[in-house]
Amino acid sequence: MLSGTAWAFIGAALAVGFAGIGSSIGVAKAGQAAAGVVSEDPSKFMKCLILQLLPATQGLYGFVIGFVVMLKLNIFGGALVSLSPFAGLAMLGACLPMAISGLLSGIHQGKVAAAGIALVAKRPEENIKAIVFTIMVETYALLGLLISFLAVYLPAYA
Amino acid sequence: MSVVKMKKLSAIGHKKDRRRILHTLTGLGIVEIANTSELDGTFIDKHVSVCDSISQKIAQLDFAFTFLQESRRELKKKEFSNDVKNNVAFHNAKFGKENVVIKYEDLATIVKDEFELFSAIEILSDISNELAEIKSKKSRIQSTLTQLSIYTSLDVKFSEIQDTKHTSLFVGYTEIEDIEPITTILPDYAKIKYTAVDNGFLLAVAVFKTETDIVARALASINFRKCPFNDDALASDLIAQARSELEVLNQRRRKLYLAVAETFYHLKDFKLLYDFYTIELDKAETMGKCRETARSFVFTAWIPADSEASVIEALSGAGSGIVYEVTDPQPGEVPPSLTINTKAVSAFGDNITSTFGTPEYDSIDPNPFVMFFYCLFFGFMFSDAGYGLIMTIACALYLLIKKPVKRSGGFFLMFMFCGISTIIWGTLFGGWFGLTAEQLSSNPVGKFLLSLQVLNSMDGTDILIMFGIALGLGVVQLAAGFALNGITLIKNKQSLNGVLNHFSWVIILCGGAVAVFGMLLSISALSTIGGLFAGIGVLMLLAGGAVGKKNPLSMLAGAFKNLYGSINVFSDILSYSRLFSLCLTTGIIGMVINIIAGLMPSLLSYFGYVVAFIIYAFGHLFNFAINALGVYVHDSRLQYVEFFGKFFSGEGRAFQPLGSGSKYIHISEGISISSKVKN
Repeated sequence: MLSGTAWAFIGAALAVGFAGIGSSIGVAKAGQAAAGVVSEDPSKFMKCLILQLLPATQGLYGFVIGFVVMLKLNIFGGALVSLSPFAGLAMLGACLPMAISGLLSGIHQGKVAAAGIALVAKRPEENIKAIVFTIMVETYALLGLLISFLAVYLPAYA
Repeated sequence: MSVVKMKKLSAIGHKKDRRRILHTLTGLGIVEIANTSELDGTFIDKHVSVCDSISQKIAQLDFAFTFLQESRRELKKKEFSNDVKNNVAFHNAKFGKENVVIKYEDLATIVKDEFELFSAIEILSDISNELAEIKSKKSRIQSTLTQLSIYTSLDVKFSEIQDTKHTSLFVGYTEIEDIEPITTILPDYAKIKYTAVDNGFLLAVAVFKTETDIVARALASINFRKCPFNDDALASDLIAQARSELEVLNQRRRKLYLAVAETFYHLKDFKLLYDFYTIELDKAETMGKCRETARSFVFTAWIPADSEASVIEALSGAGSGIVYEVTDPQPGEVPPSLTINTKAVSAFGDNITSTFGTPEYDSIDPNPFVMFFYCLFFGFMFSDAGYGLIMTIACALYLLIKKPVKRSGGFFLMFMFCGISTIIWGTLFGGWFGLTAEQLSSNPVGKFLLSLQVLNSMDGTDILIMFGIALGLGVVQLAAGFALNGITLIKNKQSLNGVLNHFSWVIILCGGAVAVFGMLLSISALSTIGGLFAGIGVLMLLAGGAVGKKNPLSMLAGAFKNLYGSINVFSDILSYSRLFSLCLTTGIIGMVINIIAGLMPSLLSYFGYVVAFIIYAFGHLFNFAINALGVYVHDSRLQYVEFFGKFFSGEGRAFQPLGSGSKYIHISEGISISSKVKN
């Protein structure tokens, strides 16, 4: 049986890793679409870049949860906090909302961002509407972040 | 705070005065010409030939802008740097909107220079054609040079490469890696000579004429390309000649570009002329909306009610015998929407509301509310007073130095206010560049800033309070949205609907908020009163669903539908949890940057300080940029979806007065509608 601290680290790894994967895939999809549009009209670079960046935030949210786990484990303070296997598993579970919502919302937000970039290609003046469509997906990553944060940060695990 | 009242102006004038009347109305800047309804004995003339001739002039000016912009990229290259270094017009050339405001009358004076300006454009057009010709000639010569370079080792003139009476001579180039295999596929008696050149070989094969076909087939199999030249000259002579031709072309090209550089001093006049003709086109198209007889014309226009007297005075002076009538909008007519606000409110209207839509005529102007809530939420989400300070100072400096005219600096004005809100929220949350309380308390300034902190985002209880405030702010905005819709309905004489279906929500939300507050502070009186109000609100909502229906079953169904609709309101409230989530992200990423930068000196000694500085600077720049973008879009979403969804459809038609379509110059209104600015 792994120690609780190890479980907690796995939780942090899942939050950072999965949300990071979601963002990378999302940003990559949007980036491919953006490169296509910019090759035709370089003046649309900024508008496409903003849309491409939108799915990048899941990775940051995952990173925030990973960091909060590290704070709870007192990594920056010297002596590592020792958790019971139960407390460690609980912290791992607390990381999962961010990990799962970050992974899937990142990928799907990338798809909407790519479609938004296609919208910008045809009607550049409607770029804000493309942004609004794209951030609709992000709401669920934010909810995941919120629950993971409250569940990791508030309880006294040790 | 509502959309400006409009009046309809209908007028008849003599055709001979038409140009003067339209010129005067354009100069006023507050008259929108509408389609004139059908009248007996009148006809419509679309003035197609006038519109076409103006469109052609606009197209010529468009060409000038495009060509000058392309030439500018070329002229910025090093080869021209000495030639253009003293050309002020070239260095100051801007292709966007000029930061100046001029009167329409002053703009119209540009037309006296149009002959000179269009002549300059003709010259630019000739230069553009010649440059295209030079480009194609150069590319032909380049390709000849590439081919000639294969034959530089040939020490005979091309004209001397000829068959003899009994032999055929093949001289050419083949692109292969190894020449040896060829010798095996050619007949033994063929005389072969070859030399390696770029990516292949220069090959000469001599055979008896009887074997010509066999050799030709063998050479075809290795993609042999016969020498295309037959000039009475050596390859090196032809290369020298081609190079000198290239040099002549280059010098001509250079001369042409320098001539273009001298045209840049016309750029501002081109812009004036472009806007003058854009407005002329608008006027010509407007003439197509008027009805005409042989000697008179009739037009209809929308004007702001407050400006009626000024418009009539100007109109009367523009021609003789003008007959007019000013009426209120009739049922079924949809006047355009114009909102009047301060510069600050307009900044939010231009950058946030207008992206969503235009307020409907006779509805509430949402812009002052958008400004209040957008600023409030932006500061909460960005939540770092340090970042807010930078944002405020940067925007204020831009506005002070650039002094943008009219509403062109609205984007910066908006973010200046958002920055101020960020400073206030950041101070309350103790967010200063992601520094922790320990780091802040190490110096007197930090201690002072820390003393202003009310909530700590690293403290368990405070975190829940912040989350509660986020949802509470959502409740306030939703209640405001419902209240605005209720007011609109009451104004439109649908009081019962407004009170029961919309104000009921204001009572539920406020009562609920008071009850929760009472529960948190354990004040039972507050909880009871709040709960009571919320209960009354629910009853009103149920009644709202039942009102207007005769069948008891439909009344029940209506009441249930209203109750079911409340799920949407609760999900809307939860949507405001993003305020708290984004607030956390800014603070924590800032803190991580500080921790990583702080580790560097102990890891890398003195060099570590340099690395720490780089991490600190770029890390915070990144955090600032990514979070500002995130906050901007999520704040917009809260306005568009949660707030506007309650009362604002954005389906109005924006007021577009004659003369408002300028692209490169700001044009001042002839009449000031008010001391405030138009949206």
